Amino acid sequence: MSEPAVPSALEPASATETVAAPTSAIADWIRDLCGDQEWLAWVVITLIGLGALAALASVSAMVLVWMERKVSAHMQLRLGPMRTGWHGALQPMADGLKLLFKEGLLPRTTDLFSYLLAPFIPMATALLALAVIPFSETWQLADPELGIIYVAALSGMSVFAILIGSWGSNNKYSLLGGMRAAAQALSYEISLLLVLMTAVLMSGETAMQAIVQSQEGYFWNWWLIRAPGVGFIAFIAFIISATAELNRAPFDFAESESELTGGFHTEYAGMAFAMFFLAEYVHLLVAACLGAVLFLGGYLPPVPALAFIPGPVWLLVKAFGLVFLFMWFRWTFPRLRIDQLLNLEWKFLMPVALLNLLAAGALRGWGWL
Amino acid sequence: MIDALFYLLAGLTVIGAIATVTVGNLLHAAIAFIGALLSTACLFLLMGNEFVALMQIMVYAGGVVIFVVYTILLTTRSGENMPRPPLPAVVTALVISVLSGAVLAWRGAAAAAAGDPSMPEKLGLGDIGRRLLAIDGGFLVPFELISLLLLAALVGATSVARNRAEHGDEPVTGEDAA
Repeated sequence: MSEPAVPSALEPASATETVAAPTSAIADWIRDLCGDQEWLAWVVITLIGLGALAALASVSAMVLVWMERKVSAHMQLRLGPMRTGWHGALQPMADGLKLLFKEGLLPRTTDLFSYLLAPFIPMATALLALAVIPFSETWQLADPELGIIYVAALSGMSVFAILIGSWGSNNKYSLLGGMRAAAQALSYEISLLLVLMTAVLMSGETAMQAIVQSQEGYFWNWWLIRAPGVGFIAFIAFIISATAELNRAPFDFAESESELTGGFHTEYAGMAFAMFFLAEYVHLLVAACLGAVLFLGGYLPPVPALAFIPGPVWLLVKAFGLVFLFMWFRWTFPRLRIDQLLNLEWKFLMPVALLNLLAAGALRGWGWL
Repeated sequence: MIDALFYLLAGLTVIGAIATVTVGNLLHAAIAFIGALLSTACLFLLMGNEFVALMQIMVYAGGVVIFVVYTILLTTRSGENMPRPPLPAVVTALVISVLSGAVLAWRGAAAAAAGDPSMPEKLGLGDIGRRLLAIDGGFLVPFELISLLLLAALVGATSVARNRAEHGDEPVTGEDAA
């Protein structure tokens, strides 16, 4: 369907030290071209990497929008878009063009600064998080030693956009949606972090590449299966809290069309709305990739004999499987009430994740992992 | 190029910090504060200290300021401009910040000149953990106290949520209202 335009391994994210970046033909070629001027090579390689990330993000967002339409349609015994290209394959193009040509409305009573700032933040955090996802041993933009903590720090920032966007819109529906979303994201962040820490504890690593490498071998080495019970509970908790962090149904209080006429993005139109909309799908991809990396062996094949299929294919297969799971939830479960949602987190998910972390620590301490 | 980046980020930090205390609108001040914190995190990154940078983003930008924003949104008059502080308060604040800045610059310059030979070139998470939890010269007791406090807070939050439900404090649903 879509071959992601991820470049081969690029240069380190930090300018002060040289992380042992895997060499790649493109990066070496650019360094050769620039000769003595190392800073120029660094800038060019970084820009190419960022451009590739943006391309990957927009292409995958288009594929995911199409997938959402088709999955929802088939779950409801409909066909979904059929007339734009083969089985509606060009529908995302049509959507994109429509949004591009729409007037960017600027309601008179908005708080301009926060209203205009908000649409850029979710896309920025989504792209930054995508930078550390390993697509193979060498296809990774940057591999900071604290990859997991980096992702966790970014996921905390995305709620900020919803908060200031909803307040800046100066609309009661927006504000209600924003407040709900913030309460939800702040609560579920706790169990998300606990689950991430469980993964760190199980693998003993914090860098993304190292976590994948710790699951080397057959599929029963994946953390989902290898840590008896603990990995499975952590995976379930990850799926639930990721769904909540992504503001997807059954936890889509930030939008809840039927109650809040669109929630926090009620006042946004045209490209400003498109930024929120696309970022939502890039976040979905990031969450699915993260789940695949932490629990499903990332880019590793299930059996070593299948290693002739390249790593990015495996990662995308696993990630899109998880995306399908998220979409399946969305079109199967009814939306919860806000108090039910918070009860689920504080009375059930958070204690379970905490005990699970304890169990992972015990397994690790007794040397069973 | 590193120098140029440093001055850019330092300038952004200073602008953000000044905006935080001069802007009248509370929410704008909070946004400027986040900007200042994020550029400080970038400065830490520039020094090669990933851990402190990420903690800065996670704890301050992602935690503290988000709660501040949340609280501002909960107030009813969040859109109005704050009244200007009286002149003596401004002068006092200026004096205190200039003095503390001078002390920090002086001590920082002294520490940078002396250097710490025991510091490794690049601090990994393992180094930080070992130093933090070392028996001699580590921070084992404060660390355990903090984790106990956090655990108590988590358990307390859970029990607060539970008590509410036991008293039958369910919100009015559609059927009840009808």
